[in-house]
Amino acid sequence: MLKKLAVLLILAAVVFGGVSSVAPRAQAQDEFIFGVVLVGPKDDHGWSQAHYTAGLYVEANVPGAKMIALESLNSADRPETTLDQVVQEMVDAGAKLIFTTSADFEVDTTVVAANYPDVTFINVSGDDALWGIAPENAGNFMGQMEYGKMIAGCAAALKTQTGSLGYVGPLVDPETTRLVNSVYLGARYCYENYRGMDAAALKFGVTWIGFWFNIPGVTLDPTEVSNAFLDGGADVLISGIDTTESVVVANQRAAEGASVWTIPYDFEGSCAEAPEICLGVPYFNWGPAYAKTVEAVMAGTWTQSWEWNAPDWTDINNPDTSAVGFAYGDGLTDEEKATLAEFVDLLAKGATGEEGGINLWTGPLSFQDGTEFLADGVVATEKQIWFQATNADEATTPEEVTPPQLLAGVEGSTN
Amino acid sequence: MQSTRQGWLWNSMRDMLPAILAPFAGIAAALAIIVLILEWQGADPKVAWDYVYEGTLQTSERRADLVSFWMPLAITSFGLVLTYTAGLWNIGVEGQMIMGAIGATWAVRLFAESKNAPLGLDLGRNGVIIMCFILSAITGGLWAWVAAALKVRGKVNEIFGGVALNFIAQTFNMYLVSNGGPWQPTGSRATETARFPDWVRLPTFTDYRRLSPTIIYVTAAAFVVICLIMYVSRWGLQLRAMGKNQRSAFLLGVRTERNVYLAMAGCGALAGLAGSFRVLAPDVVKLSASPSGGVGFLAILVVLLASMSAVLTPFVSFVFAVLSKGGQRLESGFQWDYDLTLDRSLVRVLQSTVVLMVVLAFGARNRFFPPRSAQPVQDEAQIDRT
Repeated sequence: MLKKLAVLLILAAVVFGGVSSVAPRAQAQDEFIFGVVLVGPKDDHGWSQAHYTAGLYVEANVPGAKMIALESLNSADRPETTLDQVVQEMVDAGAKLIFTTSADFEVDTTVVAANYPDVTFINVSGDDALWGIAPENAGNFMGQMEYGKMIAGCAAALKTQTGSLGYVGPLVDPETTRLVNSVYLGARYCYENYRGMDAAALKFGVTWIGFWFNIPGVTLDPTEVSNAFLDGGADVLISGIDTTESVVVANQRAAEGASVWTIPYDFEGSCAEAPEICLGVPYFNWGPAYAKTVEAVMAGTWTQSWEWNAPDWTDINNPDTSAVGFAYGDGLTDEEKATLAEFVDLLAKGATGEEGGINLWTGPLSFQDGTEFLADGVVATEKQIWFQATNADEATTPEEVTPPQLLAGVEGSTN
Repeated sequence: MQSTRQGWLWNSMRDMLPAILAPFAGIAAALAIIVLILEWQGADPKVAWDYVYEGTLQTSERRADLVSFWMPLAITSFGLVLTYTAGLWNIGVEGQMIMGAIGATWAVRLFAESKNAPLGLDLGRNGVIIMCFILSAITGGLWAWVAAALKVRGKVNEIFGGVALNFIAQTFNMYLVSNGGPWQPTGSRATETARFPDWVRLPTFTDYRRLSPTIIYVTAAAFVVICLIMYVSRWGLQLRAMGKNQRSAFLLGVRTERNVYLAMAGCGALAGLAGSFRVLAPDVVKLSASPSGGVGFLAILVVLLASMSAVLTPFVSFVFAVLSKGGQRLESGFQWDYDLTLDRSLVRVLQSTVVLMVVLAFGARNRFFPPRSAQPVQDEAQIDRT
């Protein structure tokens, strides 16, 4: 009994003993604080790091802007907190604008934003503002990564010796399905037109791990998935998840003497983990969109919008203007790089409506289950591409849009 | 009988002093190590403490958030008191929480969501919430029952059975809410179910939209029940006897197999309730990818640190809640105000340090100052095992 009492007293002392006031921290007069909520670690060499980097870009380019970030907000890593609580913490710390950077935050962002009408919210990659579900202080933006993924697919097709590509996918949703299909379209085009091979002979498999990154015991292990692809004959691993396991695995296999290559995703610097076998990386350059939003909110001119930002076709790797880019990797020969640049040029012409360009979202395209996505000669609309659904333009609520599907020719399921 | 008055004093001092000092020594050692870790990371321990306080106790809103994390942790710990007292290492508690979360969500789907409600019963809000609690207790309890059956029938140690069942529960949960699973809304981009309908949500405090008084009542009731079991009932005594020596308890007439089932199922039911708290929390109201998030494992540490004492678990779990939530504020505080990034696993390290040091201190005390009383207090005997 006495021992219990003692433990009690000590616990009380630990909890209340050190009570003292937190020293007020000086905040510069004209400082503009914006919050960035990340679903993964800010140094994941992928999705979350690309967002964190954008925050640093804003701090460097918008005078007076100061980022406060919280990494790894997900129910496995931070069971003790929720988006609602984090938003409150950020607002208490003075944030006037909060970027929530995951599809996983989309629903909660829309609900929480209604509680803070004076704070502006951006859910990256969401579309609640497009449907008019989000309150007026919440908007969305996203980069047109399907072009980056087409370039990635082309690079893989230019390189593969076995004619077999493996895609490590996160979870199934319209965005990820769109990106897998983009890689496939790019790969198929280049396999046929630059390699002179039969597009039908190209093997393209996707395995979904179940979440944006590995959560041990919760998702499939992307390391195992990557190894399984290589064991199954694939020689180019394309990453669609937030982190770089497939790059690490490919690098290990290459060190053992195997001819394998890899294409990471999201973060410009992610080839650094395996420079020699990296064919390049399609990456998001969120900085300009962040800076534009911060400036608009600072000036009081921000209004709700859903934006799908395009690459700057004059230079897709311009850090100040292009929303997505493709960093060429050392795994490509100079000749292959030239071919790839030619492909990028065709995409650019297609996107800007110039003569001789290509738009790979042109029918005939059909889904895995045989249903038609686009009829012969039909070019997909923006919404049809966004949702990977034929009826996207007719639908009036998100529920009416048919679930996204992989294109015929892709191996892997969507459920 | 030569024990003079002086001798008696000396003897009791000799027994009591180490008992009182051991936890002090443990906590002091833990604090010293924590201070060293913080210094090594470049963080001022004084400022760190301020952040912990600010993030958990300073304002009423933070206290409300703290309580909403504390309650599921506490009620899970109550359940674990049953199994750990009986010598059952219920590692499967994490999976039992997940199954409880699934059970509560299932109740919402059965009774509240018109699209999915196959039963068509109109229970009203309170009826649905009660069904959530009942179903979560049943699913959590059944999951623990499976582990107990594996142990009793299949001779599978409850640790191994628990680990396997955790994995199955987590995988089943992911199947439900991800990749177009049956409980993921069509076209959803988040790994979770739809938010529960507004009308079935738990009542909240007027001032704190994220805390519900209901979970406090349920937890308090569970505390009373566990205390009655442990300190009043014969069954509590039987569990203690099993914990000391299951074979002897059996020979003395304790129905040990039945008690394994009951203790595990009781713990599973409370863990299941904790799972329902996690999904019904007013700022969650959905089944997410990882509804338990390691809270069950944290509760195991709580019970070990409280040395299976039912009355201590609320306090120890409170400290762990403070460490968890305060740790997050500590991390964000240093990052936002000082541009100092602390390692993300620091919080877990701090928590483990406290447990390790206190357990070590008890161990040292038992090794060097063994209690001499003819009839040792029950939980001292259990500390020996830890």
